[in-house]
Amino acid sequence: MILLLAVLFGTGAYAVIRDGSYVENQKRYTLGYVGAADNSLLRSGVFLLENEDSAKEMIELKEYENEDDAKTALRAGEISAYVVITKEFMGQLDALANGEKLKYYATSGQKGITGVMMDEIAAVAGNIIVYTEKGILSLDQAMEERGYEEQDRILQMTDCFNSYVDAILNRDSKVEIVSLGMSDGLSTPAYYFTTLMLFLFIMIPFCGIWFFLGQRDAIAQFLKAKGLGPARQVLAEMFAFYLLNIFGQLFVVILLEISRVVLKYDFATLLKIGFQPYMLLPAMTLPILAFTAMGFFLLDAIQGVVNKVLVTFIIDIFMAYVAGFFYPRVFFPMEVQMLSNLLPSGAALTYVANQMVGGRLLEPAIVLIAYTILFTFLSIMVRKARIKL
Amino acid sequence: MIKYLLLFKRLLKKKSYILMLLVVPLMIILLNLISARESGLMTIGVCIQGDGTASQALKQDLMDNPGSFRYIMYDNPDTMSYDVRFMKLDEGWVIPDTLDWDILNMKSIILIREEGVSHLLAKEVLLSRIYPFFAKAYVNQYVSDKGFASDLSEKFESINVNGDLFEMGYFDGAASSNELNSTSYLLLPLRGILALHLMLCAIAASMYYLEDEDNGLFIFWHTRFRFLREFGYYFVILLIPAIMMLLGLKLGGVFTSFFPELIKIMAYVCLLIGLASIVRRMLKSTKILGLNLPVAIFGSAIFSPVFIEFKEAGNLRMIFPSFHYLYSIHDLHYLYTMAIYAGISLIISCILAEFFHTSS
Repeated sequence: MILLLAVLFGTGAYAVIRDGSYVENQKRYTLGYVGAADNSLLRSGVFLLENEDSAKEMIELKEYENEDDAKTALRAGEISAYVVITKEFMGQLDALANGEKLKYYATSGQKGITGVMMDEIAAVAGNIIVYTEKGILSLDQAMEERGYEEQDRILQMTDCFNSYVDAILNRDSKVEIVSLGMSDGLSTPAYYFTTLMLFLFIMIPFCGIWFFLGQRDAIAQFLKAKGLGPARQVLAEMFAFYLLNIFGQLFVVILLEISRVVLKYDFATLLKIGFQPYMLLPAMTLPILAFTAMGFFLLDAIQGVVNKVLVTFIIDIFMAYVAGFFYPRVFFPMEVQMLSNLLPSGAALTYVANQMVGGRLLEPAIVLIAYTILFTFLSIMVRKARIKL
Repeated sequence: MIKYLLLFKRLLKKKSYILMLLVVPLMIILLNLISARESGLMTIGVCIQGDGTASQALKQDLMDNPGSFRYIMYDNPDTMSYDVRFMKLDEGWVIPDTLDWDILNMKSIILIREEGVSHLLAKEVLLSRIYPFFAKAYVNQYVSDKGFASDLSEKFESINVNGDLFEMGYFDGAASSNELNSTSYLLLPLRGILALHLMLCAIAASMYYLEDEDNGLFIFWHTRFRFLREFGYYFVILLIPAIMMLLGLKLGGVFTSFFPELIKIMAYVCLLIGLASIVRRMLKSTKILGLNLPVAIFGSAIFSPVFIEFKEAGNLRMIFPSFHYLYSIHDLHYLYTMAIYAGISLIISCILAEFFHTSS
């Protein structure tokens, strides 16, 4: 089972590292479009976007004959979004009157982060169109006031429009990008590699759930009668549980090392930091201890297999989400970012990340040890109560 | 009927059941609290060096309309640089005072740590925020180059052009009108998390079933159709969590409209019951089912759109029930695939129940 988990983990790592977060991925957005066939303004716009414009690094365009083809492509994941460009919309744009809205479809599922990014892109495009129109229209008004003929005005507006397009294509010259370097942080692939690993180890206690099913109270009382009090029972069981999880970690590390040696995955380049899988062993020991203690407490204290699973899952995934395992930590409000360091998940992330980049280990280590002691203590209390009953 | 009610009562007797009921709304309340605070997909520091009209207007615009980003104003570019390096900011923008008096030749500086598509997008956002001022200056420049005398600024300001050009659409428009508005992006994974939660409930129900089978519960429960008994058993366990899920979606602000949601969740429940029974009959052991829990979680989290959309996996994703459910919300096509999948799995589990049973 751990094998299957490890395979899944590998796929997940692959998915996430390739996909990155929606904010930091290296993959371009692919925009499909339908309906440009007979509009020359649009065709020239598409040509510019595909060849001249710097946005071609961010967006790739694909044309579709009809909306059904585009829909199928969106469902199959070939494009990130598509737009249907109607004759009415183009007519309006030509006439510089904006009544109709253009619809873009970014997902066939529910709105996600890609959708939010698409909204931003749409806002950018909207802004540029609107203010260009304003410029051209103000020129038109001025000329009309001076008594120019319509013919002349149209010629002039077209010239102005072309001029604007030139300026827009050259907008990169208005910005200078200065890269300050990755001095103190994890690269995006390394970040997600770490969070996925940690998520795996938060979930691993579920593998041992059978441990906590069955006639536990009777066994506990029996052991007490034989001289093993609640504290010793809990410590022994937790130790066994911990070993199980360590074994899981060992297995994952071995798999990663095999992939490094046999399949020649160079983790150092993939993750952009000097990292080898065997380094995970010392790095993860303390986090796994904390997760073991937490998993043990939750799975032991809660009664009923359905309740065990559901409550533990919700707590685990909420903690993982808020600590920045799935979306980057900076997505969350400042207060949450700071507080997440006090959660086992957040402290674990800081602890492991700092080991990779050489940051402070003391504070997260203290948090993790504190949680281990807390959950062990709570488990002993629960066991004591069970024995008394 | 009574037997199902008794099953239900047995669930309620465990004190932890209340905890289970409370944990979902509690999580949603916390998420709501979190998303009410200020946050952004990217946190961008902005240092506007000028203090003329254009600079003030740009500052105001960024503060009033941040979109999905979060802007923090800085007075000193060096402090901002420091914050970018030490990951307090995703990037920093330095906008010189030439914004006010020489915008056509102005050059802004963007400070980043690492290259990526997000920075390309942020660059476009920066340029599009400056663009209104640029466009005005540009047309004036154009006009004076051509020899016309006047300043078109007033005209420019006075022309009203409709700004709302683009709109996100969904395939199933009718169901979506609520969600299209201001749900915080932080709450977007909520439905995925709850779908996973329901799936785990089905697996846990399987484990419960096996326990009861070992304890001989079904020996005394005679029935003509084992399949119906099995279905009822699962249904009783899944009912309350499913209701909690609907309530949770409502609380979290991602609810669409009542009947579509109800139909989709019922189809999802049927699919889960079918798959859970089949898997249970194949694996036959609580231990192995438990080992499958993280596999199911991880698999569904990767292959269905809970946090990410892993489109490369293509049609492989259709194995996972949560994939169909999550996509069916806005695309009826997936409701049909989910219903077909549910139908097939229920038929298979029916056949298994009637003809391949090992106990009564």
